[in-house]
Amino acid sequence: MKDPLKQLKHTVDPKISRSPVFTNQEKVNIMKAIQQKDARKKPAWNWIPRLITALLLMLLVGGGSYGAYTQFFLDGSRGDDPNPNNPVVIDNNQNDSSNTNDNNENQEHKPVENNEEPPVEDPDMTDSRLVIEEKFDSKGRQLVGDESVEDPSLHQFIQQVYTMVQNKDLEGILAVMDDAVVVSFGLENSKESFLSHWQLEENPSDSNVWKAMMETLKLGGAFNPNGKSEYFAPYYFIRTPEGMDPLYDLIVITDNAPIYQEPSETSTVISNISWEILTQPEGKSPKLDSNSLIWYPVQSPNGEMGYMKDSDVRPSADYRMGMKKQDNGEWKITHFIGGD
Amino acid sequence: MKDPSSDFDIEQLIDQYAEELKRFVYTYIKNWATAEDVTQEVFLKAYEKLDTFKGESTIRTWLFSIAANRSKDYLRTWHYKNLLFKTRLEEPVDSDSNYPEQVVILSSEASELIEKVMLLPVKYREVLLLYYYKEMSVEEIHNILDIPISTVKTRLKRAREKLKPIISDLSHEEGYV
Repeated sequence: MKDPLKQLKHTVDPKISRSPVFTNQEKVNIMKAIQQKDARKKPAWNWIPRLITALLLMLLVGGGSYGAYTQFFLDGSRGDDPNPNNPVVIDNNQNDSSNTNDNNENQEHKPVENNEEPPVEDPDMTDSRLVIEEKFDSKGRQLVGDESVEDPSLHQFIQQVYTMVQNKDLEGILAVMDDAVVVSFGLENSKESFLSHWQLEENPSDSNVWKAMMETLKLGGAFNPNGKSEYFAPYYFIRTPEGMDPLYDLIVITDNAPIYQEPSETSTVISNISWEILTQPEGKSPKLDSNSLIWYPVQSPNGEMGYMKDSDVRPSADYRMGMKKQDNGEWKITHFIGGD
Repeated sequence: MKDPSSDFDIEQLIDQYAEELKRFVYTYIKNWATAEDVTQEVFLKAYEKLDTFKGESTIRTWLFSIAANRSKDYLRTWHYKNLLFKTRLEEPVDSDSNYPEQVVILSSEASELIEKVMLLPVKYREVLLLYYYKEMSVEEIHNILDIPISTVKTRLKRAREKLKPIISDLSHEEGYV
């Protein structure tokens, strides 16, 4: 007798196949999570440059507290640093290649100074404000704009969030975050999910969330069409440019970004492109290179096929930040979510 | 001796198995959005542990074992239990306790069999789906779920028993008997 359950193969498969296919965006999300894992692995051998720097400091500077040098060797921070979340104090030149993608993050790394002197504050770090410049593609479609100027309380809130992101101030971000913040379509809406999704429980300054939030905020924002109590960044997420596929297109988010022939920085640059909406070629998916850089296959407006680095291009469905005005007039972050 | 893990890179594994694994994860979780998150965790775990892959099973079996474990981890979370509780509280008295995704699946075609399979307890559902849907051997299921072969066989037998009424009907309909 034939086993009737064998038809499960045919009964189940077509039904489960009705699921959304595994999309390029899902692949990118996995690759970004891998990038983050890789970034976290690196401190394991970072003690070598730290040891050399600490020894050089002891030899060249002399005096001071040995405790401070020991602290620097152990975690890269100054021994007297009141905030353990502060970024590692180490020379920019010793940063690994992954940091080269984000100049803003590099700005946070101050050179080591004589411990006897009080740390000199970098005015760019403490005073830098988010300035959003309108951007248009070659067809005149607006990609970046800033509607927050219409509501001073919102404008101030965004500046405050931006400063917190620059300082990697997790406590501050959590304080302005809604308790039911949406961070994933599958996870519970909560701050706990935010912490776990972005691997913020340990060494929060290593998390990719800061880079992702900064990139999102720099792309401006717009009010929800239903009212002015909800606001989303980036701008194009709400004011979708005509003809842009909000799920599958890519947006070039820098000036003169190179399009490479192959997914490698050593490959030939076939052209450069600024602020443009690009189509993802069918049948090609993003690539992860040996340095954990994500490469998107792209087709330029001229029809050229190539690859672009994820620091230059962004999927239209990538991370967006939602903010909502509360009954007491305060703004809260209600969403920080990618994908669809 | 060559390291078996060196034959694979994570991107290749994502391209080859992500879709299949996501569907497999769904059979536990019954929610596509959560299945996406859990599938991501599966590949993160695989990435972390790839150098521990000894080639004792196929890479596919190894990935399925991670997926089964992560899915069951999720089913043990407070979030899932709370969701289940809320769903039960909110559902009409005489309806099924299915999630919307499942309702779509079930209302589309007469598919009593899959409905019953998806309502089986996880321990029976997983062996049944791995055996029939994924066409894996008892030996492979033993490797994936890390349970004795005898337990795999027992669970398969009990799962069939639980489905006996519907199997019997199907057998008549399809002329198997």
